Amino acid sequence: MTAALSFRDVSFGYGDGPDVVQHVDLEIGPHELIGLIGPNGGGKSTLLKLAAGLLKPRDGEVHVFGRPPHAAREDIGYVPQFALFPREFPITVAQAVLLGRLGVGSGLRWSAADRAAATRAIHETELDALAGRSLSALSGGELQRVLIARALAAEPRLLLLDEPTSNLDQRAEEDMFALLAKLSDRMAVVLVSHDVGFVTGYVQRVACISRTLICHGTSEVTGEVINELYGHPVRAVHHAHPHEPPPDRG
Amino acid sequence: MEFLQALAEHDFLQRALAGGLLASIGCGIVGSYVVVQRISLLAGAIAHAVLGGMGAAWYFGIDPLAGALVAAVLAALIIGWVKLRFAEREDTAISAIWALGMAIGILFIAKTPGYSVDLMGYLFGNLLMMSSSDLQLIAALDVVILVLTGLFFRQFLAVCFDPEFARVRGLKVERYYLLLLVLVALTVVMLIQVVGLILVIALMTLPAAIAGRFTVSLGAMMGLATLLGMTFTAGGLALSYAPDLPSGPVIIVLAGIAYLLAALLRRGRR
Repeated sequence: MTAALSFRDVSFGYGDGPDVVQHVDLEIGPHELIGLIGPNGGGKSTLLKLAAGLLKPRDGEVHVFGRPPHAAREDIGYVPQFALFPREFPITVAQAVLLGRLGVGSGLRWSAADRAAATRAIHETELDALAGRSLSALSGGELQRVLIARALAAEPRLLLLDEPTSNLDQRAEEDMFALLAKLSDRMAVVLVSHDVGFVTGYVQRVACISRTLICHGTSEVTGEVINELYGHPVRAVHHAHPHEPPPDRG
Repeated sequence: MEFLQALAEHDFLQRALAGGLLASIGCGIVGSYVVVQRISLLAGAIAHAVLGGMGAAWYFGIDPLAGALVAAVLAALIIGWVKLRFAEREDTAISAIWALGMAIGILFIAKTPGYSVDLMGYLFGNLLMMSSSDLQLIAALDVVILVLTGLFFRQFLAVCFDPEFARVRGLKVERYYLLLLVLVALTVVMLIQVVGLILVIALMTLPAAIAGRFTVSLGAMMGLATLLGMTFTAGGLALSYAPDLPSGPVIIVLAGIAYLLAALLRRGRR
């Protein structure tokens, strides 16, 4: 089966600078929900941008469903870390989500299929009531859902999310992971997170990146791995996940 | 009333009003792009660089507006190229083009024999001097702006809203960005005849900035900005007529007052 996303000996650096990621080998299956974790500046977002085709590797190869990212754009949904647009931009939720259909259809106007796909994405992210609302009127969590809906509007087979829970409270975070788990039934989901304790409870696999790939197993991220990843012990805070029993306090 | 009577009698006033209303269309559309993209300084640099082209055209005996058109498009492409290739030097490029264009213009004008009264008109605008060929040029530029905006509305929206995402979707962001700047250049040339090159930025941005406060979509913002532009140009022309004031500055003062009122109104609603 063709991997949804594969990195083969990939290295990348900005300009003439040193490698930000180095010799990364990683394969992600078509229905996997995988967390990319690691310290700040460790190359997580860079890997995601390489997968989205926003950056080109210095060495090695990146493939999305067997093709270079630029040739597989209709299969890629990308959710950036921050909303890069000004909040006061005159655009409604529905219009912003429709922009996710760019590059899918052709013609001068949005087609019925474009509108139907955007409506489905809005429904899936529970934004129906906000569809006509201006982006400036949304909370941080609602805006995050708009970014995901925009990515889903293209009906991708690979969804890339950069720190999608960084501005959310714990309840909204849990809802977000529940949505991502549901989406992974029909697409591969790659999620960058700095929150090791939280993300490992939800994803099927983690890939630990600190310039190079340190682990990518299905086993638990152990203290030794975290030490190697961050260069020092990380204080683990247990998050209660709805699908697992509370920790044994005895 | 005096203005309305004069309007019915004098062709030059009718042409002035028609010119102001026609220019407001391109101004409302492109001004909205300028405001949402926050490139009003860039538009200011293009407007001032135009003097270089006008001065050269004067010197060589060509229509100054043809020189303005070439200089505006050239300045837009140079600034756009610098911004895309060396983003950190954008402000330097804007300042350099702004000052260099004016310097070249002044040099050519100084070496052109005689003194042209048109110069003040191009610097500060003179709607009353609008000729039929000027009107045709404005109408033609309107058509170009309307056609290009109609063809690429989604692409321009994506580039202004979130260029990184547009790039992920496979859009040639740089190409559309430069095309947008060319539209800004065309609008500058169009508005020079209405308010003059020194006041162009104000007429390009104030109606759109007001409209942006009351609309939730770019299309609606363009529509409202166009209506506001028409109101300011017609109102400025009418108000300036009886006391024999220059119409360009009156139009801008009117737009400025409306902008302040709109800002206060929105603040009061919060």
